[in-house]
Parts: sequence; C-alpha cells; structure tokens
Amino acid sequence: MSLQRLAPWFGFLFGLALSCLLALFFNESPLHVLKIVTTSFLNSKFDFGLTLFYTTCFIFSGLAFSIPLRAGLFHIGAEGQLTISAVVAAVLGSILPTHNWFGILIIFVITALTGMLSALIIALFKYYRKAHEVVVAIMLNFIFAAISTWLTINHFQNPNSQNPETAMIADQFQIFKSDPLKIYFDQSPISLFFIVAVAICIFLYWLEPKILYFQVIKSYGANRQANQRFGFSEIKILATVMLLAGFFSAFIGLTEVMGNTYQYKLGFSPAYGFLGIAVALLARQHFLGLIASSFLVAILHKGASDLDLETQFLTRDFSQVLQALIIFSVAASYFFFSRKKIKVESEVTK
Amino acid sequence: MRKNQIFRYFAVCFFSFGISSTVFAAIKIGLVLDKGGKDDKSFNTSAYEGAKKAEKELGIELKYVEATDHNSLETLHRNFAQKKYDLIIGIGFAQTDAIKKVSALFPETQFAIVDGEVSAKNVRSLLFEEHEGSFLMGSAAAMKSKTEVIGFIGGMDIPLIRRFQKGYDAGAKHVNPKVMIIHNYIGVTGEAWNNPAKAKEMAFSQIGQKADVIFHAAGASGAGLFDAAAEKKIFAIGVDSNQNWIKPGVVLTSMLKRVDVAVFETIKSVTEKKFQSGIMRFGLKNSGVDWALDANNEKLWSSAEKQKMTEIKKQIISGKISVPDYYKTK
Repeated sequence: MSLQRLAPWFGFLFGLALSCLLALFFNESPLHVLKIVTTSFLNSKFDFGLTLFYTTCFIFSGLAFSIPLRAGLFHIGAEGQLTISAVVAAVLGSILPTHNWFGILIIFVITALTGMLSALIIALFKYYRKAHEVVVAIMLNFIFAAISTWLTINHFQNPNSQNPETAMIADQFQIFKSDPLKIYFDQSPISLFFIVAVAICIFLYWLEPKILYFQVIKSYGANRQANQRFGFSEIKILATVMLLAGFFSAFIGLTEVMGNTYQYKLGFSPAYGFLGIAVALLARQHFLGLIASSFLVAILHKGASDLDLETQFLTRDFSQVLQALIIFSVAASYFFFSRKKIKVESEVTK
Repeated sequence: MRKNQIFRYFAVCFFSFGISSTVFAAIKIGLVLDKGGKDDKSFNTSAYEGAKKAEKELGIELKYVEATDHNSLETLHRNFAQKKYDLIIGIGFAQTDAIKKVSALFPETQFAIVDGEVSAKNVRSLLFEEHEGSFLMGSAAAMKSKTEVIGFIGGMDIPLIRRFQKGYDAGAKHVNPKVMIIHNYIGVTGEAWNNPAKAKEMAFSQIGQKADVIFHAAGASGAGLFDAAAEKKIFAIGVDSNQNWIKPGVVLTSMLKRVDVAVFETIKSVTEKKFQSGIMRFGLKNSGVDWALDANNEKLWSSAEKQKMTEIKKQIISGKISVPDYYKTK
C-alpha cells in the first residue's frame, strides 16, 4: 500500500492530536481528553452497542455519498432522503394491517423505493435542466424536511404524546426488538441492520471489479466528454448512482424506525447525511475502508458527546470544534500528498 | 511568566486524573439540557439559572450537559445514574423516553423531567400550564392594542406552541371580541427556534397588516421580533424567561414559565430528603406561570390596566374563566 493511500489517516491522527492539544487552553489535560474521546465507547455494553448503531448509520450514509462520487457527483442529499424514508417507514408501520409477515416486506420495499425516487429527482434535474446536484440537493433536503414535519404533525401525530413524533409502529412489526444483537448489547439502539451494513460493504467490494458498469461510471466521473464519446447514456449513469445512493439513505431511515425507536421523531438524525461525507472521504470511497472509517467516526461522535459529562470546562461545542479540526486535517492531507504527485508528473512531462 | 504558564499546563496534564476521582460528599445533581443549550435566553437558560441558584444556596454539586442528538440523551442519563448522582433532571419533552427507560433501570436514583410526563416511583414530572399564561398575554395584547389587530409568532408548528396560540387567542377574545389575530409560524424544521431574521420579516409583515402588539413563542428567534418592534415602535411580548430587559419600553411584558423555580424547588426537596414522585403542575395558581412586571416595563402600564390584569388572573385561578387547552381539545 502506497503512502498516499494512507494520507487521510495521517490527517486524521494529526487532527486528533491538534484538537487534544487545544484542550490545554481550557486547563484540561490533553491525555484525559484523548482518553475520553477514544475509549468512552468501552464503558459498557450499552455504549458499545450505541457506537455500533452510529457505525451502521455512517456506513449507509458513507455509501450514499461515495457511490455518486464515483460518477463525479457531490451528493449531499442523503439527509433529506433519510428523513422522508423514516417517515414513510413509520407511517406504513402504523397503518398497515398486521396479520401477516407480508407487511414487513411492504414496509421495506416502499421505504427503499421512497429513498430511491427522492434521490432520482437530483439525477433528473442534473440531466434535463443541467442544474448542479449540490444546489438541487440542498433545496430537496429542506423540502423533504418540511413534508416530513407536515405529515407528522398534521396527519400521523402520536395520539399518546404531545411530542412531535409519529405513532409507534405495530407490535408485530417490531421484529428487531428481540434480535440477538440488541439483546446482547443490553437493549441499546443497535440492531441486525449493523450486520446488513457490513455485509453490503463486503459484497460491493467483491462485486466492484466484476461488474463492467462500475468502470463506466468511474470513467464518467473521470472524464465526462470522453465517456460521452464512447456513447454511454448519461442519464442511465446518473440514474444508477442516484438510485443506489437513495437506496442506502433509505436504510438509515429503516435502521432508525425498524431497529431503534419504532417511530419517527422529528430531528432524529444528528446530520448523518453530512457526517457521511467525512466518513467517505476518510475511506477514499473504498468499500472496506468505509467500515473502518465509520467505526472511527462513530467512536468520535460518541466520545465527543461524553466530553461534556466527563470534563469540567469542555462543552458540547468543543466536540464540534474537535470534529471540524479532524475533517479539515483530512482534507488538508489530500493536498499535501497529492501536491508531490503533481510535481512528479509535471517533471516527467518535461 | 510564560514558563510559569507552560508549567501550569503540564501540571494540569498530569494531575487531572487525580482530581477527577476525588470524592465529594455533597449532594450531586445532574442536569441534562435540551438541544438549544444553556444560552438560549429562554427555556434552557431558565432551567440552568434555577440549578445555579441551588448550587449557590444549597451547596450542591452541579454538573450540566447538553445533548447532541436523541440517542445520546439516554447515554447521558445512564452515565449520571451510574456515577451515583442523587437527582437527575431532564429539561424538555424530548427526554421523556430516555427517562422512562433509565429510571426503570436505576430505581435508587431520583429523576425529574420538565415538560414531560413519566409515571414511575422515582420520577417527578414538572408540567406547566402554558395556556393559562398565554391567555393572560392575549388579554394584555388586546388591552394595549389601538388598531384591534394583534400578532402571534410561533417557532415550530408543534402541539406545544399550538397550546400557546390557543390560549393567546382565547385571552384576546376575552378582552375584546372584535380583535383580529394574525398567526405565523417561523418554520417546519428545528431551525425555526434559531432564525431571528425570519422572525423579523414576519413581524414586519404583521405590522404591515396593522398589528401593534406581537407575542412570540419562538425561543431564540424572538430576538428578531424585538428588533422589528423597536424599529416600528410597536409592542412585543416575550416568552419563557423575563425578557423585559432586552428592549425596555418595547417589550410590553413577558410570559414567565418558571422552570427555574420548578428546578430549584425539586433540588431543594432532595436536599431536605422530601423528594416526592408524581406529577407537579405549575400554573398561575402557584406562580409557575406568570406575567413579568419590573422596572423595565412598569411605565407602560397604568394602574387601571394593572388592576384588570390581576382581575383576569384571579378569575382564571378561581376557575371563573376556563382557558381552552390544546392538549385536551384540538
């Protein structure tokens, strides 16, 4: 493995060290901060399960970002897609007839379809109106958030509560309540979706070199004009990557609704969709790397929220500074390592 | 000097492990704040101030944290309980489920929740009768309005804010049946609680429709309303904590939701070993909800108007006026 491939990890360590040193200004020991951030997930089985739950969500959002990036699309719409999918799953779970297992299948299929179709909108705008995917995604994120809130509060509000949330899904659909992982981890938010997420990553890693179309997508990302010259359909490429991205975003909604709270709560996502970008960049879009980077970011996410509790002067805001520093360092590492490469290349051409 | 400082940093480095394990004998209180954080100048600030007051006067050991997301709430409560805190207070309805779950796991620890209802042996639920307070605000607005048009700016459109709105409407109609009330909600996402710019625009549009008293129930967004009211020289009404000081002469009054009192009293009951579980309601009756009258807005009220307000307050307490409650009738 070349040094360059490890660049983001160097950046990661640098950012972590930098932010821990920053703690000196607040009269906190950097070692203490480092200890909390990196080991708080080991406190109990519950904490470990929660970290793996975060990992699950990060893997899915990392996938939702890294697949469109292969085609050169900067996909930041996962947040909206996962919100609308979670609402659809929660609503279906509370209104479908419960007498057979078929209902669960319907929930999964329709939720996945919702995610896929909502992502497809971005591809359609990009192809037909030449709109930039980032702009469309930002606007869609808001629209989906608004639709979700409207559906929740005006039509499917939980009658047993004044909180803005939908009703609980039917007991028969709460199959993940007693899955082995959840029981092992002391009823923490984790569920079998964790296994699904890891399996999907491994499967995609195995599949990628075998399917030619992945290379077509990559070539589109590398050089659009050349790709067009070979006569590949642009809309087909755009639609494929966005449908896949929406599919994985929908799984975050399912993880939350089917495997964790069994209802949709307004604002359940601590910006999984955006944290997924950091996860995917850290792994350089490598499917197996995604598992590792998701786990790492999950540990950080968990540890950062414990900083508040364990230290005297550091608050929640510091944990955001910490995450930002790490993301900056990772981004900077690309620059430092690829600058060398560009130099070498230009010398060769001379 | 500089060397000294560096030395101090290193000293902190090496000794903080020791400090964190020191045992305190005082009663330990854990406070879990809502997502808004302790500086929202309204709901959380109020809770934080109550706890700070208790720290000063009752000599307790206070530790407060802010939640990052829904899932972290449960961990925070669990960690507090595992560290053998005597009382853990959750601020905000979002923590209901977390407290329900954690209180069952730690029956020895005492819990309190503001704005949420949990029935367990070791949980005290602190509920506020917001509709009574906002009824009073509606009356105040209708009384002070010359154009017979008043406004309401809500944060996010959720049942809690609808409860404010319903009380406000009823209060205004009680004083002046002809009064027109303009309603606006800032947004449909969590951003709505922190969007003063949009609150200001809405206030301007309501003023354009001749509203001359506007009440907000929008958390930190309310700052925008106060700016607009000061520019156009109309009255604004604050919410949750006493916001009269923000723009004296412009803020007509504030609807007080005495979260600080509720928090302080609960902590006090623990230090006196008189903690009782169950539901405690804070309304006009026990000054849990009230209107703010201080040096900043004293001049805006004539003695006749003050008397009328006290009169309405008395009638609500005695049950002569029944205030519609959105939670009961939609």
